[in-house]
Amino acid sequence: MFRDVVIVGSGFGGAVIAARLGRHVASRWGGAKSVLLLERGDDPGGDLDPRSRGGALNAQGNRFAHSLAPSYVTRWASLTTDTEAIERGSAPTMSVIAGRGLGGGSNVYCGVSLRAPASIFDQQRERRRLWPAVYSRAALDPHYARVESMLRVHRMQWTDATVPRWQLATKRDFVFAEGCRRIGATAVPLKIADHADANEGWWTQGQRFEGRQSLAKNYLREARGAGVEIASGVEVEDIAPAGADPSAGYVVRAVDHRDGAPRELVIECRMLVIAAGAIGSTAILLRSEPAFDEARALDPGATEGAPRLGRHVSGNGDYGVTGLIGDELEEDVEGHKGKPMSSFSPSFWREHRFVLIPFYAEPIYLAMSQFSTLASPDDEAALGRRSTGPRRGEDRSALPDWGLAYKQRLARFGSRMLTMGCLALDASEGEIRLGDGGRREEVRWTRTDDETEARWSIALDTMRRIYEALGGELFLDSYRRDGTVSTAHPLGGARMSEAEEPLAGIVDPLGECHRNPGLFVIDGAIVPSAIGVNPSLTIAAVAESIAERLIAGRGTTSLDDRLSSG
Amino acid sequence: MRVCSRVSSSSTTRSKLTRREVLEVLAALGLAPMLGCAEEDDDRGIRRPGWLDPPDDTAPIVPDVDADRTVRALLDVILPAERDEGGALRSPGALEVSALEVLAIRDFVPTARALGLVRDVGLAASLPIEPASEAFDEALRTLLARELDARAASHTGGLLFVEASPAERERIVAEGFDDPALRPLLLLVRAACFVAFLGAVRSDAGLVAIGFPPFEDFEDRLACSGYPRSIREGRRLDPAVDDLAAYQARGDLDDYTYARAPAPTESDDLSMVIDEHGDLY
Repeated sequence: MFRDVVIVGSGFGGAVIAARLGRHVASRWGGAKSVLLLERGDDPGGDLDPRSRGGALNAQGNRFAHSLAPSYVTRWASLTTDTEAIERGSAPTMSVIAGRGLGGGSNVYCGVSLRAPASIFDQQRERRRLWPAVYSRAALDPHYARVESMLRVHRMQWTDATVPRWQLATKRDFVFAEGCRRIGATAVPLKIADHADANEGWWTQGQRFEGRQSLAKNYLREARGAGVEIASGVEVEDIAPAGADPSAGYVVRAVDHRDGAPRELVIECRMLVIAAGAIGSTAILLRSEPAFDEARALDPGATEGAPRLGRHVSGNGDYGVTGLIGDELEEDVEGHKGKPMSSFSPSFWREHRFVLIPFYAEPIYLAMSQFSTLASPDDEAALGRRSTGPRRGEDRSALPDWGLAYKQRLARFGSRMLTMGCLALDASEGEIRLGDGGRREEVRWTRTDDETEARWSIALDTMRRIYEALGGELFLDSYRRDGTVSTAHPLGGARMSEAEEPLAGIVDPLGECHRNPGLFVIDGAIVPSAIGVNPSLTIAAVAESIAERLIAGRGTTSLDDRLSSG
Repeated sequence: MRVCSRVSSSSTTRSKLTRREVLEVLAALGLAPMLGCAEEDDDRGIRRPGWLDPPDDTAPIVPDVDADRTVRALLDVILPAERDEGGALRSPGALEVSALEVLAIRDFVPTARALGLVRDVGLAASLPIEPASEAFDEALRTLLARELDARAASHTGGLLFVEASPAERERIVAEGFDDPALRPLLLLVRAACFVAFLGAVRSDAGLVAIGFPPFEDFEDRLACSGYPRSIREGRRLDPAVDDLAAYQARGDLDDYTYARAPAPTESDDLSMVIDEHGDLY
């Protein structure tokens, strides 16, 4: 089987590339060239891939109910996947939740669409700029605008008679803003990607899938309209060069789960774009390393004893906590109502480089976060850092997570629960590697940089003060309890570096592997640093930027020349 | 992996598992180190649970007919129902939301783990253990019941766990949670309780009990559709009949928004932090 272009993954990188390249190929080449998009999950909307095995999942919020129902106990039924590492039989040190299914992370994101602050692109480590020079806020602004237009991003309002009520912030945001005000900070409405012109209670338990601005509604629809072949339920195992000469293209080995029994699928292609997300893309590259000889090493640094593939993984500084507000405030939070996120506090950005966002999380996850108490925080060597969780012998009764008292705390979830988190700069302390005989990717947090630790401490203290200012208390905090770093925003693993610095990264500023022309990685894996705000818009804008340069042949061989050669 | 396969294979030819085989399954699940059967745990002085003694016991576990009663009592300690003085149910607990059924779901551990709900159960939990799961469940309950009974007996001078007073049961469970040997099993049971209660696997009564509206549709025990919309006075609307736009125009629709601006924070100047579009500079 041969396709001219194969794209692996359909999230904010893959969907954008599929739409842009697909449209260009259709207009320039008609049916003479082919573009195929592979996605390991199902088609949750049910209308992009008629061969999808999965029924339409209508609710992110009830994926658990779906998944435990006997007919749904299959690896393809879930919209999310969770990856983590177990260290020496001890604690998972990094827990990543990521979207799966056509649309990738957009199946589970909250629609928050903020542009990355300008200073993000100027970050340096060891006197080297982390982002290639071609990337800056000004350079990305036109691409941000295109993505915002595609995703129908609008800014929420507190109150405005000129906008529909579904564009207004929620009670949860008002309560959070009041807490911020009481500690001298400010909350402002967020920019949100929206789909339905109504408030369908999206994200809540029982959310209508149609309420979300998934990539299936925009970029993937455009890609399909342009003739891109979309195949869900196809999981890529690894890739290899099709021949000694890079112009021979690449071979993709995958498993097709759509026709009942899994079937091996081998696809040759001229141009290959890996866009399976920070974890997925990195894992595919790691599994494929043996197929590339030293001259074409996927990780040039490894040949010099300084491997980069799988290293420098950021959790985007995610740090979530949950608490209850007190009875003093007359308003119930009703956190489950409205959009899952619609305001944030930027008051701490300039001084401390974090923002705070209140959000709705399913009660099941809040209660379950206490399960991390399985881990013992005693072994700092295993955790790779200090933890302020309770030590063996300490009084755990101060932290009840079962019994009547705990249940009665939960009884207030529906009305008084307020969940919030910080997004911050971290030092990309995570690492992706292969476990289980190379079959499964694992993510571990190797250590916490002192600067990250200090930033999180300030953020945590700030969030605690907000709860207390509202007469309540913070009571769920898995990181402080056992050292687990949980993130919904993994970045890095195959990060970009300048073309002249191949040892410093995996791909060049165009996402093309340093030693493998025609092999691209275009998604969160190539983002070289935390960006301090929700990253989906930036990942999509980077993909837009790459697509534009590739199609125009600006600074690289044009897409048309690539497709006509060989 | 090898251990798992061996146990699975042996369990297909016998209906009962020995204690040792159960422990091997637990090991395959990544629980063994936490159960105190690893050497390094012994070095650290972690007490072995009672059912491990004698360690060379290979006798099959005989399912205890009272085990379910004991486990049910345990569930009611971990997530108790609340009743009024007349015994009428005020608030459901684990039993009322079918936590026992959830605990018995085949693949409960790997599925819950894949969803990030029991994060600290080992990676091996994702391995197939179907042939052993039913027996494992039966054995697990029996082992757990025996351990609880043994602990109850030592506390009360011979009473079974179900015969102990509510306060004594709570104390026994609290000590179990503090005991590294028993804690993993109790946490798995706790997982089933809270998954049933908050995950609406078999019933949405738990969510309703903590203040959420009932699902609009719970056919086949799958929650479909969003929370039903209502007008402000509480009546639920039927989109097929009611004119939602008219209610919205009149401001009667509870559309999940709030339309109220917070008071400004005078001392906090954001003019140099965010631009007019709401992005950080």
